[in-house]
Amino acid sequence: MSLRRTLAAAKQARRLFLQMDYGPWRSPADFSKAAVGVSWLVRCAYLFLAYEIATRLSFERVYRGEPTDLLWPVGLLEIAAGLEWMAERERLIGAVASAAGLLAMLFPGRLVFRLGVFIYLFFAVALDNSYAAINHGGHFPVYVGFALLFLPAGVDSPKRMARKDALTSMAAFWFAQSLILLPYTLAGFWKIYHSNLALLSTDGFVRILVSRAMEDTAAIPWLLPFFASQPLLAQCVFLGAVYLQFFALLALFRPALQRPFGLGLVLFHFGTDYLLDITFYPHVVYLGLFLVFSPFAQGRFTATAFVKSLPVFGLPLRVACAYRRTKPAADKAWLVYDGECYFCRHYARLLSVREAVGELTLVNARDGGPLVEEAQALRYDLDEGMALKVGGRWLFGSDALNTLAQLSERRGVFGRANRLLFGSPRTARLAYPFLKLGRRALLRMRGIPPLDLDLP
Amino acid sequence: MALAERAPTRSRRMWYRVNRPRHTRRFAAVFIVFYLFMVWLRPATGTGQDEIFPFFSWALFAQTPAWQRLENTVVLRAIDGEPMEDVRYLIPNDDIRDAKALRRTVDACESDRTACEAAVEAWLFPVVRRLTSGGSVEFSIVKVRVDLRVARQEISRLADGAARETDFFQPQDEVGRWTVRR
Repeated sequence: MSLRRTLAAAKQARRLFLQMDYGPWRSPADFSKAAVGVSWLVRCAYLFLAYEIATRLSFERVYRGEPTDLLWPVGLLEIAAGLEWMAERERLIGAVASAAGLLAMLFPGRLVFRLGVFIYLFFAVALDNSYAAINHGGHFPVYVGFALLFLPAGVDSPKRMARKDALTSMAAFWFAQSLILLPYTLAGFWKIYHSNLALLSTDGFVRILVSRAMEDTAAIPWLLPFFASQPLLAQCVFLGAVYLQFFALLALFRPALQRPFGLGLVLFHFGTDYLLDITFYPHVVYLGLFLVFSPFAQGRFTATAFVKSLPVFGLPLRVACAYRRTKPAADKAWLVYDGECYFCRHYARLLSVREAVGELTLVNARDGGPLVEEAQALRYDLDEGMALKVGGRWLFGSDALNTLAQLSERRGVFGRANRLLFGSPRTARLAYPFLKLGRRALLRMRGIPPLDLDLP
Repeated sequence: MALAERAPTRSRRMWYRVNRPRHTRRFAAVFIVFYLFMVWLRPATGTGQDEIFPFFSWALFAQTPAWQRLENTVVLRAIDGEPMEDVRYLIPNDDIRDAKALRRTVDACESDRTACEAAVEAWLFPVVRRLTSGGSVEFSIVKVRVDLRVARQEISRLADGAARETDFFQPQDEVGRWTVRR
């Protein structure tokens, strides 16, 4: 198998298993809306980070026992300034960091404020997790703060943002989404990895619940006794949670999953609180901002798109749809062109369209026929350009040329040159008048009259 | 020439700016791979820490316990030579950090007796000093058996506060006994 075929197969597999497409590309209006959405959500994220710094993440929470398990950033702080020095100025440092968070909310394009927030979070969360403490809830703000460092300066004024700034801000937002979802996937992975088939047992989750209840008898959550008495129901809930966690990262690539998975993970956090007494409420806010309100999420919820996007369960439907889409359909595309034009004729014959389109039927406009009449009925002047009918849709002139280039195989010198010259709508539009001029000049030189078809 | 090669030319800067969204996406993908690598690397550091900050593995509640299991506890035996009337467990308590200190100590004790003494002195003595008062405190590490089935039957008593975790402990084996002096 050639390298090209291998790459094509890999791309097909990636599309099938990882990335989904839901029809037409986003319109420019959708694109601008998404860019504005990113800007506002980023501001909300910084407002929440400022609140977190002011209320929860401070240097005050240093364990007063023996200094054990200092994480490396805390070791650096100890060497650079000394923890005592930091503790004495804890309020001042926290106030400055909170102010930086508020300023980052007002001016998210200024790197200095975002960097200030990130540096504070990095060290405060490291301190919060030192001394053998377990405060992993603090990792999320660090991840979000880090990803948002990549925002461009233009994010300050979303409505006047340049295209590259809009794309960069979306990439930074996507990065933040990925760092929020990765921990869930890892948590799901470890549960499967360490389960020793306990996932398939009927009482695995009950054992976890009872064990957890014994660890903290002072605060047994109200739902725990009920689920402890219903092992099968508990196990089903647990399997659902593991599924949601393990495949969480896929929501990055499947817009139809972003909102449902975001809401599912929010429910998961309420579940961990009411069943295990583990609270991660800040995560609910991050999931809300970055997934439930994600500008990349599918606009309108449709059950088909959701089921198709579901990992494992959606695969049969996805394969069926992919098969239907790629099944070669004869006579699926028609090209109506001037058969007396030397260039048009040879161009049409050299074309080799992809299998997915099916067979391309060439129709000489001078011979007439139902397709020529159909094109005329749509007021296409075939003397001004060729017409292409693909999947019931008509394209004319430069649009037809560009679509043909997109649908053509990138094989051989002609295929590559065709794709290179006319693969972009802009170059096709620029080149088409010159091609038309060349055709007319050639017809005149050969003494062939132009097409004389009456438009209705 | 060398300086010219190092300094970014105008066109290179433009190239970077134009391609910045792509760079950000690629960096994100590389960073996620790097994150996974750091998670994989953590045990190799041999520090015994849960993470190479901030690359945490997120292996939370990953293991499903068996119905019956052995647990390590610290039992208070005597204060200033006076033996305790009831069994009093110092660990487990409300602070997970103390449980982690005990786990490390037991790990050391299971590998080497000399390391065990050093570990007890380094990690358990401070905890015992913090949790007790008195000139000298005698304590021991005891392995206990816990039956989760029994605990499950008594879950309502646990929820009501009528029973505690330690009520379900069945002492099995004493790892060692030590005395802390202030």
